[in-house]
Amino acid sequence: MSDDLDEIISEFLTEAEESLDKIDPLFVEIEKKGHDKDLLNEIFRIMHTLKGAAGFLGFQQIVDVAHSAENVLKKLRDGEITFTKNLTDVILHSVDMLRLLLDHIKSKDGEQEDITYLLKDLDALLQKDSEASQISTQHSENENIESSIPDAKINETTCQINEEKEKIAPEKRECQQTLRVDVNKLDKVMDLTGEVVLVRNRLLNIVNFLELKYADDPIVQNLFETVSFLDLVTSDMQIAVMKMRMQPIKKVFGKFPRLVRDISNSLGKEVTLKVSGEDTEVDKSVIEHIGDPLVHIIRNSVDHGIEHVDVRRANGKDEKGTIEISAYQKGNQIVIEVKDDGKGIDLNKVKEKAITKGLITIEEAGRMSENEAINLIFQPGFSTVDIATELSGRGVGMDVVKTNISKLNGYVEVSTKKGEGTCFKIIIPLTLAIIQVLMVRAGKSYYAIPLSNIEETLKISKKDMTSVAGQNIVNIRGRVLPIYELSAITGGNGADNEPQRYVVVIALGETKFCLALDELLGQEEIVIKNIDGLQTDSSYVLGATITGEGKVVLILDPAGISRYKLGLINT
Amino acid sequence: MYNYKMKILIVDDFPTMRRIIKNLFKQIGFENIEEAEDGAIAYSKLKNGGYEFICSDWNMPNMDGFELLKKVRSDNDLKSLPFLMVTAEAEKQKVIEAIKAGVNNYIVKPFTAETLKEKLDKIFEKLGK
Repeated sequence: MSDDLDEIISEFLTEAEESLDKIDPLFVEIEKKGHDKDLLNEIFRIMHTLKGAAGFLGFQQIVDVAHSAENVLKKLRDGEITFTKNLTDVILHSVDMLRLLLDHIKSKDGEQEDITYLLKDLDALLQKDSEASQISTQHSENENIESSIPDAKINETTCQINEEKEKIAPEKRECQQTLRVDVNKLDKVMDLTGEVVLVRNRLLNIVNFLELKYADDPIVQNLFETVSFLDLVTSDMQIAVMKMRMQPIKKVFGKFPRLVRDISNSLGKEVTLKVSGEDTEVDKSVIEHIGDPLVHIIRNSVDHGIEHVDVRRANGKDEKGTIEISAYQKGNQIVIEVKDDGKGIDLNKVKEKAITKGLITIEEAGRMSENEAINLIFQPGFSTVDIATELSGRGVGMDVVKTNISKLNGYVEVSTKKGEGTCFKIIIPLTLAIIQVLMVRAGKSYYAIPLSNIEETLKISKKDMTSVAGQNIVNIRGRVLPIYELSAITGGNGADNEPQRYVVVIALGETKFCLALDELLGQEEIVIKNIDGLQTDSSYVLGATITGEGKVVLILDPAGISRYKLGLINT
Repeated sequence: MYNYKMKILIVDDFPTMRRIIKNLFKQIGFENIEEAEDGAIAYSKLKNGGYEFICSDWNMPNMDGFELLKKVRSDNDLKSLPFLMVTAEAEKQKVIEAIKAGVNNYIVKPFTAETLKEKLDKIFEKLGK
């Protein structure tokens, strides 16, 4: 071929994977709705297209699987065979097999899969029902037309084909002009935009200074206006670039109907999955990293949350459990909720477990608030079920969920009510590359604190701070919060010896604490730059940035500080 | 026998397929090849004029190849355009329908540049008569 074959194959792989991803949720939907010609047609077409392209590229195994699956789907669409759970399973297995085959092609490992059993299973579905469909003689006659047709000579009688049957229902689909762009190129644009933002910040600083000094100079005025315009355009560009990296969370949510179906089937539970807000757009890196934590939470909800049918019946609940997954944007944050109507988390059991595992002492357990107790489930090595099930006992626990989400600068909130259910709320910032921060000074060092983690700032006098059992606390309008010297955390120079102190109240979901520092310098939009060699998940620093004045400043990670300072997670 | 500069429209909903078929046409020696992702888009492109050959897949969303064929044949501006239908396998009854509706020929996936050329030869041979 004149075009590079490798390139065509890689394009085929991407498109084939995307197409297959569409099948899972469609099939689960059909299983729920029953026979739906439009949906079946769509699945049929995906298999059909896949087969066609694979044929050209010589991927015989894909052709074989897709061909057999297509035959089953065709009969299903035309009402010649009916839906069974077995049929769904076999079709979904075919989808899995196709994915596996695509993986082999992608990794070029040259491995072959044994598809004979799958093909037999698929053919068996056809066999079983072809006997049943013998009643319809019209159909079987049509299918028996084997004679080859010469180009133009058509026997008029064979043309009496029911047009309705073969006509493909027109499909509603939005046509969007799209362009595939290499992710690296996109990241480069993002990176450069970040640089432009930094330069813009510096320029703004200089112009502000000039304007103060030479307010009457028309050239300075001119410069001021131009830079103001540049400021606006840069902000717009930043948003536009950010949007380029945004994708609907559907990409992740699409896998869940199948997941819930498979887990609940294997556990013999009945679960209805409700999904909303799948059009919410999130950053590409969120899409990449949020899948695993969500899968883990959903697994837990089906496995540990939702009760067995008989238990639910005995408790007067609807026999079918419900899991609701939703996503929405709130300010400059994305909220993803996984809510079940199961039995809730038994906090006493959680505490007992934590004690036997040696994670906490009996005294600590007694003093623990409800929220602190819930957070124990995120401790490494914690699991409330003694017998590791096939599903949950993989040696990874909820601690991995928390770590993964922290990597996205997000956090998890859990609320639970015994007998009524549990809600996991994941909160992550809209974008990861550019954030709003508060610039602060502690001693001689400057730091940036992400604005999304700051609840409020205030000024207190030193005597408002008291010490209880070795812990400094501060009383803010009746709320008692622990307070830490920022310079003590960072190991920087000593704090100013002033009677008045500035306080930043950090809020990470329900966890709140205060940082005492010397000066608040103001809000700034900054670009996060990674620091080479710094393990951001085991420190209190997110990265660094260059300020408007051209200074390099560390960006603090409040979640890291809370882990490091409050010991919520063992480090 | 035919003009290698003629403008060809390839209609298929799967981008990889369009690219493969486009390559096959290029191998034969054609240069002026456009693409459309379904019958509806194809039809509006055709209406803008200039096309001399259509190579369309059957199974597509929105408007399938058969619908496109019927629309083209009932359109005074387009009704004499050569139309090659791409089908997955020899689905006889479908092929009969297509021939009845006025398709010039059909080709079964997967095919090589040689098979495509044979089909083109046949089509233009007939048209030339």
